[in-house]
Amino acid sequence: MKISRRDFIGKAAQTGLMGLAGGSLLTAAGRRSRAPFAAWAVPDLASVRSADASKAAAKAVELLGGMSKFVPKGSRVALLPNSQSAHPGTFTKPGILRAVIRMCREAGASQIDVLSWLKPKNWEATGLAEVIRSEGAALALVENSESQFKPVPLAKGKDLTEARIMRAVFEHDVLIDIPIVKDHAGNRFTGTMKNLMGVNYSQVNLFFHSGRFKDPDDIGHLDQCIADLNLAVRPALCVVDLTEVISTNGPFGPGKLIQPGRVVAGVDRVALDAYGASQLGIEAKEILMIRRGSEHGLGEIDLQRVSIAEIDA
Amino acid sequence: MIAPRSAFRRPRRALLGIAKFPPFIIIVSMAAATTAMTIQAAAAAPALSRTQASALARFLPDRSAAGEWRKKGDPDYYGPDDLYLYIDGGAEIYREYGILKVAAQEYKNPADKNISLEVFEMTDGGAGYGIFRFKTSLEGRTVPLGEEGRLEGYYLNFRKGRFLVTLTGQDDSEETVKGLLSVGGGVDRLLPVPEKNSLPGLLSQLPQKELIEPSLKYFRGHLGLFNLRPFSTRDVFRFKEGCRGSYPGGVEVYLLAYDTPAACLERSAAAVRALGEESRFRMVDGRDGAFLLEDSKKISLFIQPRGNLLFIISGADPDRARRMVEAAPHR
Repeated sequence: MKISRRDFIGKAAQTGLMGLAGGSLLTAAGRRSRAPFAAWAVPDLASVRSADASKAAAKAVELLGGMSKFVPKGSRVALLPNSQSAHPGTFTKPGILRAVIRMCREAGASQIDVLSWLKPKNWEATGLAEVIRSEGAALALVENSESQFKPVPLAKGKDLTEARIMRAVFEHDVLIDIPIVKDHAGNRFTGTMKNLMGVNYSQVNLFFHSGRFKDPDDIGHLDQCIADLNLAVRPALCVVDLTEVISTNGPFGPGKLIQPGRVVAGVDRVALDAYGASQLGIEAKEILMIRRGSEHGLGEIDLQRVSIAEIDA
Repeated sequence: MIAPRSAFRRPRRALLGIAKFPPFIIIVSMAAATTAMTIQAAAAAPALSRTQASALARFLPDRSAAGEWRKKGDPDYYGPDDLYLYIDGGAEIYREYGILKVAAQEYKNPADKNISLEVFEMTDGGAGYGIFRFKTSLEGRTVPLGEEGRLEGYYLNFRKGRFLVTLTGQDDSEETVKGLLSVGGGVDRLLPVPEKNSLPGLLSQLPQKELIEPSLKYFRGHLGLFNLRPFSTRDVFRFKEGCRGSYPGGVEVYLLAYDTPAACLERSAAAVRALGEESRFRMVDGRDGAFLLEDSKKISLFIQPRGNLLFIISGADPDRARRMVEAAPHR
């Protein structure tokens, strides 16, 4: 159940709990204030800052109620971290993936697979393959051919009317989106919503760039397609890398590195991307993809209406 | 909406205890039954031919030219049509500038540090200049490589004629920086000397007085402009080529070139109308062929066509902006 920031603060005050040490809650004005958390209250977004990415990821999910809330015992879990480039600040930190795998196992997952149509070398170069190996998960490399992807009609899609989602996704019970927030030369920002292009057939992804930026509305088309794609797949949880990321020359890099030092968890992809954009110094409404996602009802774009727990761990 | 089987539906068989996990890497592949592509999907892109690829191989330095750094593995090559397989969405900006091919090669030193080398062959020197300036910032320091080189912490870019070279380390340690310079130097010695000056002529038509040269950017389409200054997600200007220079006091001048003065005039009016329809801008004034808008951050935008060039001056009062337009070199 989503509660407004005002309700959250009010209820927390009523219970009189002097909450977690080091915790804070963003006020409606966006200024950080030290407000007590109620033991029962679950924020919409949990943003944890730590020098240890694994620790931050674990704490963020804990604040949301723990992985068991998202991964039922015995379920098959698909993970989608970002491993397109091995340049610093462009791929999901190994520590975050490690923490997610461990949390899934502790929650009783029967199978944990990282899904990808990228080549093995992409995974080796980022160190993510080593994490998958050492944690006993599996790297499921999907052949990048049409037969491996299931057509998913999108009745509410405006530019994209049919996605082609990896069949492997549907062989799992739970999908966890583990993107890294960063700059993107195509539309200025990539986060949870854009990361889902990783489960969409690459030839369909090319359609997102169909005009090759020669059409006057190509950026709009790209962003609409991404928002439409997000109608096809609903991750149970998103764990977002905002530790060290590139703020220029994305998505591939190399580019200027910034260090927000955070891992952010939640289920609202629009709110997560809005929060991620804010960390890059961009207002959510400036990113068309986030607006379009909001228009599809995928989440809340106004961070004033989202309860965000920000803590240091 | 399709979600992977409901998160709250139990699988048919629950595994007890610690699951025995399958082999580390699973290759998911079925006998391909080719079906007609009935949806919006692009045709598969042709890869570079062996001949095309080998043309770049000679610019990848061997051990003698790269100091203690050795090649690790074989290089990868990509052309404009399959570049997305390497850079995904980042490929479009290279295509906008004009790219022929790229070679990507890893290097390692005895301490097991890694450096990635990319040699981009663009269509011409202007494209090389443009993509170099796109990828570099005012941070870091210049380095004596190619026609222009810049080291920014853990990565280095330099341009030489139509070639852009990017070297990326995993950290900005002294050892890595030395490696970037060493391998970069090896590439520089292999690249051909450009036949002529690579600077796009359009740059000389910016107002020259107080121009901050390191701020110069050159672009060949909407994406390049959008990354500099997102006036609109829509391509409202539809120009042929453009450039930007910065001046003291936070002033920026964007120069957009069109084929003819008539095209420039028509497009400037259409662009102003389009920007005026966006909530981020409001029209302040429009007279004598020039327009003054203000954005949501109260920064002024002075737009004036002159011949086949459209001047967009940001952050200057109208009088200063007009003087800058008048003072800009005429061709």
